[in-house]
Formats: sequence, structure tokens, C-alpha cells
Amino acid sequence: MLHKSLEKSGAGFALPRQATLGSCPVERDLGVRTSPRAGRSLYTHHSDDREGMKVGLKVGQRLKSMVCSTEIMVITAPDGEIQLTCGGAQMTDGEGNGEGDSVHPDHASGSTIGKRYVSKVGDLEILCVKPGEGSLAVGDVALNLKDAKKLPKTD
Amino acid sequence: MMLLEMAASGYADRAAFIDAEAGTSITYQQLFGAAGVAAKAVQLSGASRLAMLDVSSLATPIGLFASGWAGVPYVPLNYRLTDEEIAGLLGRIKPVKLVTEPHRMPEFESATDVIAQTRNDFLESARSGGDVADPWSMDPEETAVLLFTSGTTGAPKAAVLRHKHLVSYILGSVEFMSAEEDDAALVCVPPYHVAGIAAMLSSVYAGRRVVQLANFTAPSWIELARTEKITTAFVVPTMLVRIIDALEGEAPLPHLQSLAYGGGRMPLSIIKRAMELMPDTDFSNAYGLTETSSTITVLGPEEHRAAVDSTEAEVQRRLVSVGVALPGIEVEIRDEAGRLLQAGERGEIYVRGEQVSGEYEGRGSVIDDDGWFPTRDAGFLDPEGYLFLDGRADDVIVRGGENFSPGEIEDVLLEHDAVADVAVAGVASEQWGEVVIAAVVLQGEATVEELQVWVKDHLRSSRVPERIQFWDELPYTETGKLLRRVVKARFL
Repeated sequence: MLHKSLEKSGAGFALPRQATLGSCPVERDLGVRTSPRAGRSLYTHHSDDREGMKVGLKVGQRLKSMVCSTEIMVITAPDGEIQLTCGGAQMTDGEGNGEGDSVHPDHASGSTIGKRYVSKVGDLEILCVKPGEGSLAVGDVALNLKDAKKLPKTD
Repeated sequence: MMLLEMAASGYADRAAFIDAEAGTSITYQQLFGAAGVAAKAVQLSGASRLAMLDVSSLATPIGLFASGWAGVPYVPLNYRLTDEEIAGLLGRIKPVKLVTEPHRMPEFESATDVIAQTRNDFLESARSGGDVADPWSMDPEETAVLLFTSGTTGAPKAAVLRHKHLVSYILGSVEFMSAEEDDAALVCVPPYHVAGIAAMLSSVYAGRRVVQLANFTAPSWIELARTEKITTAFVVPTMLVRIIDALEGEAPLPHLQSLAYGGGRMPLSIIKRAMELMPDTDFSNAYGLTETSSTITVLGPEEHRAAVDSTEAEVQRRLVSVGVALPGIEVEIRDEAGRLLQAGERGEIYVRGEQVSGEYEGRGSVIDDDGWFPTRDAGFLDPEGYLFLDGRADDVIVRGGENFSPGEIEDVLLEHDAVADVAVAGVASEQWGEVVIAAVVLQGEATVEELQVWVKDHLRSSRVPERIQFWDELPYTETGKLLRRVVKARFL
């Protein structure tokens, strides 16, 4: 039985040379939304409301799924802002929602604990720290499972 | 704590740690629970740090994770220090909860701000299944570990390692749950050695059982390697010397897939002999510092074998290198002025990477504006990026206006058949500024003159040790570091 851990919002690894682009906390103030569907809460899930905000990610940032129990940590973050989703819904750095609405069938292949997921060009790498039914994607494009490379034994 | 939480989730009932001397063990799930209970006790005590002054035991990993959970730094202390030195260190980290051996308890009975507990009491209450502490903070900037580094002058500095450094190091070098069910790591370095901490964390994340040997002797190490079917281990070079000595003529260790070493210079003859005695074992040389969360460069098993099998001097030489930088790590060599040097040029080793801390408590960071950390180690890179060590930058000998390192003279002397080990240093001289001296451990017959001629023939006359003494052994720390200043002192 594992202990639920609280998350400090906005916590992330701040590297001296890493540019932090954009702010990460998901805004509930609808006025900040860039989506054309202004007026709809991000946390209302409709089958066609899969658009969310594009945000900048920080290395070390922890994010939670809004529709399943998946939790991730950002290992490599791309420049610029992207829309990171799990189970088809925007991920949040606030309280997750494991009991939320169902995972979108197009994004339901699951996330496995300890596995790394990467974008095609490799500018985004995610570590799954808690498993769940939803699978990870940037916009509509699913992330790929990274090959577990042979790392040199050091200890 | 994230690493342990994932482990407890992924493989809860696997054995995590085994204390070979005490005959006790703990699973990942139990370790998680014990860490939570111990964390609560730490928080209730009001301590600002959790210090451990003891040999390895199950309390070691419990203490490491409990402090992370409680949000206070973990401070393993060197139990070989004098009482006075220990008191001095404790004074710097008060109010502190201290877990220690029973015989030390009277010392702390009346100590203010040192809440002392014996290791067994700590273990018993942690494993008793009480309330766990509140959820841990996820702040990667929090200090995870404070490690006092032995300074040659002045008080020891407390190297600061934050959670972000350790997690970065682990995630950069270990895949989650990558260990096989039968894998087992033997940890015999003291708990205050950064390599021991790194080994615990990487084993937890890989799901590899750790067998702890609290008090190293070669026979008990070998015995344990056999009975526990150890598949991987880390030793310092002085330990490997004793292990291969004890293994001569004995049956091999068929389960030992990999043996990593580091923490000090590995003599060429020793590593060659080790590879001959254990041909099926993969050897790795890991170079790193406390301040860099341990390993930053590795000479891997393929490179060991390539060096031994090669006929090219350039490749053969790599057997005494410490390999190439780990992914995510950059290494540079610079001169005293900070100017970047080319391959083959000797200077100070600088390193940059996410796992590098370079910060000391109360002194800030020594990292420069571009993120580079000066290691104070001397060395050079070969054209392929292999790093060769050359002692500490401070050990440079300045004789008659020439600067050179003890390392090149030591390397040359080690090539002499009769020399088993050697330490070279500079001592003050009116005429020259400094002159070269050497302490030699023999494994055959040689005279002072013979060795002096040897150095003159292989290097040049300015490098010849003016005085040579023959000793039974050289002074090393428990972490495998040569105590050059002790050598120097005996020549005065």
C-alpha cells in the first residue's frame, strides 16, 4: 500500500543553463487559454475536447494524468511549448485524477512504471513513475517506448 | 524517495538488503515502510540532520531513505576519526539525530542537540510498523546527503549532494528493474563513501539485492561472493590487491559477472592479474568524486579486454586510464590560468554535468559561471577522449622551477619488477625548492641506487628520487586513497 505523495506545483530541476520557457502550472483562469474553445473548463472531458494548452516543460518536472493513475517525470524537455497528454487528456502538475473520466480509446495502451517514453526526434523524454491505463502523447502523436540501452556498470 | 517508491511498487517482496554479518534482511516494501516510520521519528526529534556513525547495516539504507522522507540531510560519518574530530563534525550539524554503536552512547548522554540512539534501537523501532511520516516533499533542490571530505589542510568540507544530483546520476546510468532475480551486489565500502551511497541507490532502482559486508577482509569477501552468488561488486584498489592475493590457487568465482573499482589508483600489474584470475568477470574502472555524485568516467569491460589484447601501445595504455565520460558528462583539461588544453597535455580536470554538485555547506559552490567544476585532480585526455589521472593538483612537485606530478614517477617505478607499490612526493629543499622522495613497497630485491638509475633511464635525472625508503605498506584510507601527506611527513 503506497503512500500518496503531495506535489509542490511548479517544482522542477532548475539547471543553470537550461532555458525555462513558459510557465508550467495549468491555469484555471480561462482567460489564459490559447485554445479556441475558450469558456470550457480544462477538466471537463468531452469526447471531442482533447485540446489543451501548450506549455513549456522543465527537466525534473512531475506531471499527473487527469484520467488515470499515470504519473511521470520529465527527463529531457524540448524547447518551446507542447501539449503533453495521457489517455488523451492534458497532464497536470496539480492534483491528478485517477478516478476521472475514461481514457480515450486512441490513447489507452498504458504507461508502464520505470519505462521511458520519447518523441520521434528525441527532444522529449519522459520517465513513468506510476503506471496507468492511459498512454502518453504530444498532441495526437503517441510517444514511443525508448530502447533500454546497455549502460555501463558503475557501482 | 521516488526511486524507493517505484521499487516498492515494482518488486515489493524481493529482498532489498542483506546484512551478511548480522544475518538479517529486508524487502523493498519493508524498507519503504521502515523508512516512513524512521522518518516520523526523525521529524519528532526536531533534528535538522540524520547522522550515522557506524559500519554498514540495514540501518544504512533505512537511514538514507528515512532522511529523504523526513526532509533532512543524511550525514554518514567516518567512524575511524578521533572522538575529538567526530565531536567537531557533530558540532557543525546540530541539532542532529545520531545513530551509532552502543559503546559510543555514553559520550552523548549529556550532549545537547545530539539525540543519540543505538543502531539496534533504530532498527527495531523502524521495523516495528508504527505510523509513517507525512508525505515527503518532492523538492529536488533539497539537500539529500552531506559528506565530509577529508581535506589535507584545515577542517573537512561538507560536500552537498541534492536530490536532483543523485536522481540525475541514477536515471542517467540505471534502467528501472533491470536486474535479474538472481542478481546480487556486494557492498563492502564504508557507508560514508559516496560509492556506497551510489551503489545502494542504483541497486534499489535496478531491483538488485544488496549484500552488505560491514568489515572487509579478503577471505570473508570471497566466502560471501560464493555463498550469496554475488553477481556484481565494487571495491577500492587496496581491497582488490588483497582479494587476488587470497584467490591465487583457489577456485574461481563463477557467479561474479562484473567487478567495478575506483577511489584510488589501480596498479597495472594488479588489474592484469585480476583479469587473468577472473577471465569471465567484466571489470570496470569508475572515476568520480564525492562532489560529482560519484562516477563521471568509466573504463568498461570491453575496453579492459581491448587494452589487454591489443598490440598497439596507445590502446594498451588505456588499461591505466579511467575511461571516457558517462553520457551527459563533459570533461576538460585546463592549465593553472584556466586555459583549455589539448589532448596529451597535462593539467587540472574540469567536469560539467547535471549530477555534479561542487557545493560545500557554508561555502557555496566552486562551480564557475559556465557550470564547470574544478576537481583538483591532475590528468590528461588522449585523442580518443580517454582520461588519465595524475594525482591531485596539489601534489605537484616543484623542483628547480620545473613542475611535475608524482604520478609519472610512480608509474615508471611500478614498471620495475621488484616494486609492488610506491608513493612519490616532494619535500622542501633549500637548494631546489623541493626534491623528490619515494616510499617503496618491495616484492623482490632492489637497492636505492638501482631504482634511481631506473627512473633516470626511463624519465630523466630531474625526476630521480633523492631519497627512497622501503616500507612494508603505504598509508591508505578506508576509501582507498593514498595519504601522500603522511608519506611526506615521514621523510622530514
